[in-house]
Formats: sequence, C-alpha cells, structure tokens
Amino acid sequence: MKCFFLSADGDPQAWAQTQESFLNHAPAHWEIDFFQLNPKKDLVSVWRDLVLGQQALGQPFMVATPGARFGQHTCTTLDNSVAHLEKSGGFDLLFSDLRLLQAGAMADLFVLRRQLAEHGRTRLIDPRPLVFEGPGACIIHPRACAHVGTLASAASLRELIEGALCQPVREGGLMARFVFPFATMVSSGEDGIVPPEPEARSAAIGDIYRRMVWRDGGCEPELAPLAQMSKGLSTEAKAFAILWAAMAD
Amino acid sequence: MKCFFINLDQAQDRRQALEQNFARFAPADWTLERFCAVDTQTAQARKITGSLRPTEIACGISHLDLMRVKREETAPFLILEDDALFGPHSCKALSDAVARLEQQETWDILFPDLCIVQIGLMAELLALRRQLMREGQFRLLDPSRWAFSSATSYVLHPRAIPKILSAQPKDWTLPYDLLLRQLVQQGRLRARCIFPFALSLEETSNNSTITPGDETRTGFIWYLFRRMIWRDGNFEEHLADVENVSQGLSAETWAHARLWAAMADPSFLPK
Repeated sequence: MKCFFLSADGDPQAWAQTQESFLNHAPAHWEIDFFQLNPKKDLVSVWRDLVLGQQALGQPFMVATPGARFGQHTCTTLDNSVAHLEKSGGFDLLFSDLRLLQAGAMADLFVLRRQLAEHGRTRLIDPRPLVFEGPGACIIHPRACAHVGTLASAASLRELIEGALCQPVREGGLMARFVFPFATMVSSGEDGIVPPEPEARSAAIGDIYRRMVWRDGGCEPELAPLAQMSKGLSTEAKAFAILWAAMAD
Repeated sequence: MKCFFINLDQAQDRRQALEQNFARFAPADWTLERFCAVDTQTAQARKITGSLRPTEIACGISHLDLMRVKREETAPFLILEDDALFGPHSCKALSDAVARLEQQETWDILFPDLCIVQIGLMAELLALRRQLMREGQFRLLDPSRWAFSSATSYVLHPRAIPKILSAQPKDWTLPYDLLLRQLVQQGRLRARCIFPFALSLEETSNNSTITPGDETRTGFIWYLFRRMIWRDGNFEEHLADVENVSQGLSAETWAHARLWAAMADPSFLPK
C-alpha cells in the first residue's frame, strides 16, 4: 500500500514522527512518501494531480495528515479491511480514524471497543449517521478518485480533507467505512494542554477520545490532559459520567 | 385523568406511599383507584405457565387483568405500579402531552418514564433535558428504536387495550415490560414517551418485589439515572449513591468517565 503523508507547511518534525511510527510498524509491501501540498501553488490542483495519478495505477492508496501515527496492528488491520470490503461490494473511502463529537456515539463505541477487543476483532462502520470530521488517515479507492479529485477550492489542508473526503460522504456521494477500533491515531499537540476556548476544547476532547480508543492505544498517556480537563466541570456532568462509567465497567 | 395502580394486598407501605404522593401533587380532577395485584399463588392456581419467575408472571397477569376490567374506558387513563413517583410537574406535563397527542396523531401508549439502558442514548437525553428545561418545554419522543424497559407507568389509549390483550402469551417467556417493548418495536403499538420524563419511581424500586435487589448493580445504576433525569429530578439528592457505584471502577473506566464528564458539561459544544 502506498501512503502519502500530506503536508501543507512542510513541517519536518511532523513528517519525521509519522515516518518513524510507519517505519517501526509497516510491513515491506507498505511504503510512505512525503507529499508537499504547497498552498502558494494552488492546493486543489496539486491534490488533483496526486489523486488522478494514483487513479491511473489502479490500487487503493492512503493519505495521512500531520500527527497521524501507525501502531503494531495498523497495517494488518487495514490490509484485512480493504480485502474484506473488496470482497463485499467495494468501497470509496476507508477512514482509519476520525474525530467524533457526539457524546452518545462515543460512549456506545467505547463499550463496543471493549467487546471487540476481547475477541481481537475489528468492525467496519458507516460514518454517515455520525457527526465526524478530521480523519488522521484515509484509504482512497481508485474508483473514488474522480470524485475525490474534483474539489472547487481549499485554503488549507484541513479544508481540503473536509471538502474532498468528509463532505462527499455526508452528502452520500461517496461510500465510506471507518475501522473500529481505529487503526491509526493522531498525536496530541506539543504541550498536551487542553485549550479553554469551547470550540478548540471540544476538538481536543474528540482527539483525546480517539487516542484512547484506537486499536494500539489506551488511556494511560491521556491521564494528565484528562485530569486538567476535568477541573471546573459541573457536578451534574461528573455525576452522570460516573453512572455511565459504572455501566461500562 | 383516571389513574389505576396495581398493588399487592401485603404491600400496604407502597400503597400508602403512592396515595400520599398522589394526593400531594395531583389536581382535583385526577382520580386514583387501587387494583388488587394477582399474587403468585393465584397465578399458579390459574395454571398460567412460563419460564419466568412466578413474581414476573403474576405482575404481567395483573396488568392484563386490569386492562380487561377497564376495557370499557373511553378516555386515555394512567396505569401505575405501586412504586411510581409523582412530582410537582407530573400531572400538568401528562395532561399537556395527552392533549398534544390527541390533536396530532393516532397513538396507543404514552410512557411518562422509561428505563434506558444505552449509555449513548443516556448522554443524548441529558443534553436534551438541559435544553428543554431551559426552554420550559417537553418533547414527545419515539422510543421504538430504543432498548428500554419498565412498565412502572404508562398512559393507555383505549384503542390499545385489544392490541395488548391479543398479545398475551400462552407461556410467559418475556416479562410484561419487555412484551410491551416488543409490541412497540414491531409497530403493533404506536408509542411515545414524554421527555423530560414526567414520572419516576420510588426508592423501593431498587429493592423491587419483581427483581431481586442484589441481582445486578447495573439495575441500581439504571434506577439512579431515572431519578436524576426526570422533570422533577435533582441529581444532588443522589450524589452519595453515585459515589457508591463509583467504588472499584478500573483506571480505564475512570479515564473515560472524565472524558464523558467533559462532554456532558454545558461547556461542550457538540457539532
């Protein structure tokens, strides 16, 4: 599987971290390349060239965004998932992780993760009924390239991923699944601080969650940001959360 | 509204508690009438069989017997088990809900309270409760896709009686509340539930005569949720119980609890 690490700002550190996790875990038939999406050159046309070039090769390929990390089970899980989907009607996009922002769905998936983990199993889930954004990595099937490559505009990598990969799925133009437990994860920021602004804070919560429920992850690395985040929460929210936790235990 | 409650002869404490609770909160045009529950000996004498516990079978028969007796009723009425709990807003909310339903749609059963067992749904209901309480509104929700239980209270439209009676099993393999759920999920009963829940249940319910109190800790957690989420509920009254159920949780579960608390907090912005 060919994997393209997408970078809009050419940040060498982000690339090095993703590349390191990839080299530690990917088997020989996987390869990774750095792909610069230079905003000065027109993000959309560079993206289109990449996607249409891969369409010509006729193989599914992966795009990964800065922060994406591979784990011990990432490649096997994704290889198996692609093979399974190919046998059962095909797919357009396969997200290897997502940012989810509905407490209900996140809680249900946490319980599901425990059930699946007991048997070492993975489920391929349709993201359309869920509120989602920001995949850290995604496998694109050649059959979807024409659709994915035709994007009117994008001023940033975030807008490009949203417009090319997420929005068409929400609108029903592309058929997507996401792997659960997530096969990849997105690393935390430099300091791991949860921002106080509501919107950024909600996104940070979504990212902590995906780091806690990915296939090769757990909660321990997140305990410090979680402790910081729980300061100042309402007693009511804490009381309900304990009930749900007790149910999930 | 006419209200009928099912009560065993020996459960005088429950009878008294419900009658006092009703007298405190129900308006003058609401009536409460006791219906003598079928006990296990009577159920056995009637040669009713099934794989359920005798108490569960007797409970189901009691509900169906009550319906047979009241099959001539012409207006919606409220059926209660004797651990139902009214609050200051219960009767007005139920009256308004029935009036709205009668105007808007053909309905069979209205649940003023349900036992919800899905964490995700619970989280969504908490957010919805906050919004509706702020607006001073209630909503009529369709529970047909939920995993719910409980027949502690329900308003029945007379048109529903033959539908439920015709579903009476020969052998009881499903408790009565799950039989109702099955009818709702199969589309044979058109159900709504009022939210925030208009009624709740007395603390005795976690020591229910139907389900042994020590059968599951989970049952107690469901009960706590119902007491905290209803229209007249106050989570602060249950903090000690919440503290109790939090004992011995795994580190992983605590981590998720913190995350869910952050998501359940009003500061969280869902998309």
